[in-house]
Amino acid sequence: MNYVFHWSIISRYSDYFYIALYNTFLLSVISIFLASIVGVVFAVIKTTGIRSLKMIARTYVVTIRSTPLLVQLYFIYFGLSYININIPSFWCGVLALTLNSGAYVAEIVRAGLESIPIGQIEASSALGLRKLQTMRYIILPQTLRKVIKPLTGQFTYLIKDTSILAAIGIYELTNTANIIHARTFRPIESFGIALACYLFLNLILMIGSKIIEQRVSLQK
Amino acid sequence: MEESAIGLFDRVVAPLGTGFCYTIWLFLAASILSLLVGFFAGLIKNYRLPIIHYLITGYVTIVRGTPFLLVLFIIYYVLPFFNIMVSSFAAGVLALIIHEGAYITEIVCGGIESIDKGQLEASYALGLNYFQKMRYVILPQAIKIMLPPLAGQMVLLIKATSIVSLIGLVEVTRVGRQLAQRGENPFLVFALVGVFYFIICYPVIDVSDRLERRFSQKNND
Repeated sequence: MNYVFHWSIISRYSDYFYIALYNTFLLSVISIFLASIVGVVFAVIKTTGIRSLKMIARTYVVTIRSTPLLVQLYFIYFGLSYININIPSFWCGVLALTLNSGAYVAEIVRAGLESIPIGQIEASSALGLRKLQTMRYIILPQTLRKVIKPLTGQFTYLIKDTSILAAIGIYELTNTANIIHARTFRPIESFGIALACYLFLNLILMIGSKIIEQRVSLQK
Repeated sequence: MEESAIGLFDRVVAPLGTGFCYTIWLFLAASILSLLVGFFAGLIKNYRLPIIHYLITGYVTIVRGTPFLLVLFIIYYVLPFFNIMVSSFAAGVLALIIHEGAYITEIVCGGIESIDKGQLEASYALGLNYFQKMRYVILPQAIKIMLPPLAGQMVLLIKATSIVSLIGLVEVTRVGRQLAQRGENPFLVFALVGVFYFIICYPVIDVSDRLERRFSQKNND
């Protein structure tokens, strides 16, 4: 074994890692937020919508699930610049992550919505609630309880998928670790710190979902 | 500018086809090996040998929190320090095994654990040893439960092969990127690349969804 550890490179390049961690965090949070909105909208379309809208939602989900994120990312990144729409690569990444994760969220939320017994909907119409009110007060709160666990799993994937945005040159954790590895020739230290950061981010997500789970659960 | 369909085929479709072959090779090698690794790691995890059990649990936990690209970079850039030279193809296969193997371990272990305890006790009562018990009683039942998530995992695996392009393996996504950078219409190129993945992934997703629905219906009845 002829590998010499130089852990000092971490403190020397700590500013880079702070920025990278911040970028990965920002990408994750924005994408999780937007993907939730996209997912809920498509899930509602799939369960209640008109046939043609349903077809669109189905095509969207199937297309996204059957192609890799990297291909979707390239499609957006190279495609947008080809038709002279220049948006920063950060937002290209957010767009790709949102569209990608949105499809999976839609599937999870749809399964949650469909698991609500029809009696609940009948009961709320018997109480004189309108469709939107039924959705807001009866169905969505019950669905939320059911989807939190699978959604946490999906968002863990999302946090890990932010690493793929290294392909279009966003300075997130993996890309930064790779750049610092190239400068210092110390792969174990630089990738090791990136790995620790990802585990840390996933830990935050897990704690967050546990807290939400406890707040919405019926057993207090 | 008019151009013939043959010109388009030579410039775009043919190179993508060559890249697609690499994707398939990578997928075949990685899927067979990771299924093997995951299967045995799952069995060992289920057997609950004191120290090895914790090692495997630690391996699964760490890998499941780590992006695949990071695993790939670590394999590709760290192994040469230990005088192991790896091609990008070999690094890709190795990283896929490590990454997907962890998920398959969990699926296999979970599948075995979901079998009713009475089955275990009955096979002890019949005097079967460990291998007979696994071979004739547990696994035939567990395979049915493991099949839908395993199929889903295979879809994730073939999608993960696209990431190996980032360490320079010229598979279909890499070819697509090169074509786009050369000025071909990126919408056309990446739609074609998408179609390649779609052809493989969609049938597997469809079968997996159907199996899952059938099992959940059976459980509800």
